Amino acid sequence: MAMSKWFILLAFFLFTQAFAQAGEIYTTVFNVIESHKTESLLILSGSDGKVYKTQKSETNLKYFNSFIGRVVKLSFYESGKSLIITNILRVNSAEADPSVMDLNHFQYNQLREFAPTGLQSIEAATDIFKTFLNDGDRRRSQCFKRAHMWAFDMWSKIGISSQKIFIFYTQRYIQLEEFEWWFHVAPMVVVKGEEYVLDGTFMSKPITVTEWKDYFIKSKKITCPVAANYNEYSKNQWTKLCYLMKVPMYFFSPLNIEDRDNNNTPRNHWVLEELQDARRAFKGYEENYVGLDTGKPTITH
Amino acid sequence: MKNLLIVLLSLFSFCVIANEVEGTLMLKGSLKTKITVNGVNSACKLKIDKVKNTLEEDDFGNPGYQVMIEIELDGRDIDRGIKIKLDKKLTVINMFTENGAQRVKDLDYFSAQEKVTVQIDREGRLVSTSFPYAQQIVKCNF
Repeated sequence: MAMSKWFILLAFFLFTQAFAQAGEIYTTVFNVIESHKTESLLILSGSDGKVYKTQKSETNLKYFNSFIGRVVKLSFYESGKSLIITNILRVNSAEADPSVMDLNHFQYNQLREFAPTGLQSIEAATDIFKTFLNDGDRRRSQCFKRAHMWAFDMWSKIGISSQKIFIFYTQRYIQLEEFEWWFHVAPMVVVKGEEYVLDGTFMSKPITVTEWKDYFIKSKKITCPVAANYNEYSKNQWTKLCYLMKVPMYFFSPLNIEDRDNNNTPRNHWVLEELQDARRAFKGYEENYVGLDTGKPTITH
Repeated sequence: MKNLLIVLLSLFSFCVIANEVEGTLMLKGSLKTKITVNGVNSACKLKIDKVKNTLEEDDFGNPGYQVMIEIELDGRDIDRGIKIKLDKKLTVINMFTENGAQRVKDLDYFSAQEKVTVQIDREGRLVSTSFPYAQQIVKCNF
């Protein structure tokens, strides 16, 4: 009887394994941390931002730490929401040349050309919008932190490369309207060629850029020109009331845009310290974004 | 042919420049000057109360201003028994309609209803105003 129980258990295990999604990925081990929630080691992958798991142990911690910053081939299977590592191998440059393969989105890559993912329907955009973490506590954080985590989640969890849209208010608008912000930002996706803003704080669904602009400038009769660079905004503080700027998802705050345009600091990568800071936008961030932890104090803006 | 091209480019540049505004902000405060109205020495005072954006643009994408002003005219000729008195609060804008097109001007403001005009300089200081009083247009230069 006991034997048959074991047989059923084994059969069940094999059955679930057969249906579990297996895969392989060439990536860079960006970070290895110990989970406080389960007996797992969390491996942050550089090429897709996903968190892969393995069994926590002293040996494994030492072993996986030795891969940090290295290009590896990860074999894994999906178990529920978790990605369980079955094998990790260091690869040689001929197999996965880091100068050719895009292996680490936490590092600038001259060859990486950003292109936003095209969604097939507004329903798809709405479904993504509904997945956004949102605790409804607007005072807890600034818009750019929420926008950054939504953009990161879209990329790391569902593979969507999104953009950010900034609305910058000029001195003229701020001064005369006594407006309390000088910019606002939200993620933006492309649906069949049309851009939709996913502003999880202020909107209940994806809306067009024009609708978003009208809401934040409180007028349909004001056009906010799309600025080609930061100077177009900063040097025209009295001729317009507002400007829009569209940038890849990696841009965290207006400082990054200013740096790109004035100090020639390019950006096509995530910056861990910014993500660590941004994740504080939401309650329960330690659990939701445990993979971004380094155990070190985070920056606060 | 070359000359024609130069002329056309110059005209185009002129048109582009002509449609650009600097967004000069009218400075708040008040100014007073002395004028003669119907032969009576009078004080003309113009107060700039509040400057706001109209939240509308002209046909060239320039946003307009609306300004709340107060005009005061005060004079008396005891011998002739003439009293000059005006105290009016109104709003002027810098969005004009010219040849069917809406156009924001940097230095000129008006109220079509009240037939009032206000001019400022490039620093936003008041230069002059004109307004109707007793079947005539009174002009005050500051």
